[in-house]
Amino acid sequence: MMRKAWRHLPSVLYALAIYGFIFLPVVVLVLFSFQDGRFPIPPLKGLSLRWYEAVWNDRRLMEALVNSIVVAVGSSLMAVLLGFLSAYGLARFKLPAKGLQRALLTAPLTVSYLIIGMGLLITFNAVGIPKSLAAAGIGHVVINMPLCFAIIYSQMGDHQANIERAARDLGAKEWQVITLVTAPMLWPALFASFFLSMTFSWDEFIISFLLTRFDVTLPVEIWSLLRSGLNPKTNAVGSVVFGISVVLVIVLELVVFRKGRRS
Amino acid sequence: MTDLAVDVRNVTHHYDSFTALDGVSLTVPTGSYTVFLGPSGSGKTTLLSVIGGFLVPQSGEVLINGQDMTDVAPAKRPTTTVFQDYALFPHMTIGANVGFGLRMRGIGAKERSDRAHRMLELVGLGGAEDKKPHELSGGQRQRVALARALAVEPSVLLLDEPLGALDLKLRRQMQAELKAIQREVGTSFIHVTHDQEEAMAIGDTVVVMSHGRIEDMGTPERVYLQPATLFTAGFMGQSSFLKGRVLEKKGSVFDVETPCGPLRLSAPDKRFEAGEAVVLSIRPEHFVVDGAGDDILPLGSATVEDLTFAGAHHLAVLKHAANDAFRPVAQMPQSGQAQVGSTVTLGVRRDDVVVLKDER
Repeated sequence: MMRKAWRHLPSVLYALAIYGFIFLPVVVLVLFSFQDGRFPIPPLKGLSLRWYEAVWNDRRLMEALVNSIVVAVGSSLMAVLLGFLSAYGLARFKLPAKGLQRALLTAPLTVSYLIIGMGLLITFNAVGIPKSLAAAGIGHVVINMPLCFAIIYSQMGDHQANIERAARDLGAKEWQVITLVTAPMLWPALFASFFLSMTFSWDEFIISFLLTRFDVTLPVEIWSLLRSGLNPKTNAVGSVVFGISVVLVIVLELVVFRKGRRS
Repeated sequence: MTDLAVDVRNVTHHYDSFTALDGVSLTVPTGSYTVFLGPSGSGKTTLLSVIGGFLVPQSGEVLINGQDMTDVAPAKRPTTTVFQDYALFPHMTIGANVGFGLRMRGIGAKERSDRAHRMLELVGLGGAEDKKPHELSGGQRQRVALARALAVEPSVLLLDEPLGALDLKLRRQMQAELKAIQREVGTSFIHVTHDQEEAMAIGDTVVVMSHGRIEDMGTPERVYLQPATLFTAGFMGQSSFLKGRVLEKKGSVFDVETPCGPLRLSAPDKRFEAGEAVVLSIRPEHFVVDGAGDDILPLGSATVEDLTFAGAHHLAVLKHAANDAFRPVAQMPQSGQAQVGSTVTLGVRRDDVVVLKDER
């Protein structure tokens, strides 16, 4: 028995090293957000919530947080709606160059956010759309819509097509088929793609940085905070961002997990 | 009004190079139970889709209750379909499923739930309104699909292999119930199946299809006893085929030269010319084994090659003594002397022989 345990030791150490590498920085960040002192570096001088209080009282940070939530919710709703409609169109109708259209819809997944952000910046400049939260939101729709499309499209099978046919046979008009049958049947996929979009939009930096000016999202505000040096307040706001991401991922996990158990 | 629920006129449809329907015409009288029977690829489901409006045929017309419906969408036809996979709405309760069609017609919630309740009672599922489809068994889902399609009171109910997913016992039970429900509501039912026993048990009219054409159409008794074509004789029940050639014709009586000797046959409603190649089709139960009589045509002797017990009788595969290629399948008594290897004499009553054109 002992010999067996020894044989597992290298893999256990390896796993510990990997998880340490991934999570230690986050743990350090969160830990020093509770620092009772002026610098987020060892030694830990004691635990305090004063930096969270400072975040709460920082008007700019709180505004940026609200902006981030608005952009995340708005762009995700739009991305899910557009993704759903394009998936419905591609799955249910005969369209010209179907394969090409599908490829074009998912292509932005492979393009870097920097390129998308720069492209949008140049385009918006040329068209005369000012830098704003709405512009950043459009950028987030561009990066999240392909994802929503891919998730929803993968869940649209022939069996559902037959169910939609039954609805039409019973007298449902096209909009009734979509709202009463198709969307409710795909509820888990819609929910999952919405929350995934939220998590991506929530901590997206480059596009928001390029496309916002006066009103900014939280990651952009944190970045400008970082330029004035390290400070436990940045740790505290970073922990808040991380905490909200974790909540989103858990909600997503619960939805997908529950769906998996049911079927 | 007209007494034809469905009138299909010369409908043709191709999928790429495959001909699914080839000049099909048929009529379905109002209030009848019609069964489309055929192997897969025979066009029966395509024909059902054309009647239901899911497919617009490339040529031909479909009239429902006397009105041209060829290009009309399914929602606007007085037809509803029971799908093979039931296609229930998984996120709705059984009551909402059955009431869906009424909801689309703008009928209020109260009346909807009353009518859904009556429909569910009709199919023997009273009280299941609040359940979800995934809580029901396959047979129960089938009933819900039936209730949902009947709730909007269609003129024609289309059933696409509705019993295909059920086990044999449940299928036989549902056949009887379908027929009983059809009599009660008086709606015209059109039912697609590849199961010939189901077709005979349930249909007022059986339409036999093959390669996009209608091979035969009539009451189950007529189609079974006097099949119009070789395909029908082989597909609808079991048959043994004996090839022959018409020698001479005297009115409705004519002589046919066969490998089992010349036979004098009669076919009052069919015309055959001298020299024409024909096939004699004989059902297993029509062979007279070791019997003789005035009206019995002798077919020579044969050896029993194989014997299968089928409950009410035995089925014997025989090898004809003078004609190796002729392997008739004959019904033999439930308990008898016959054994594998024994020799028997074969005969058949003249009226039981069906003479068909040799199409091959």
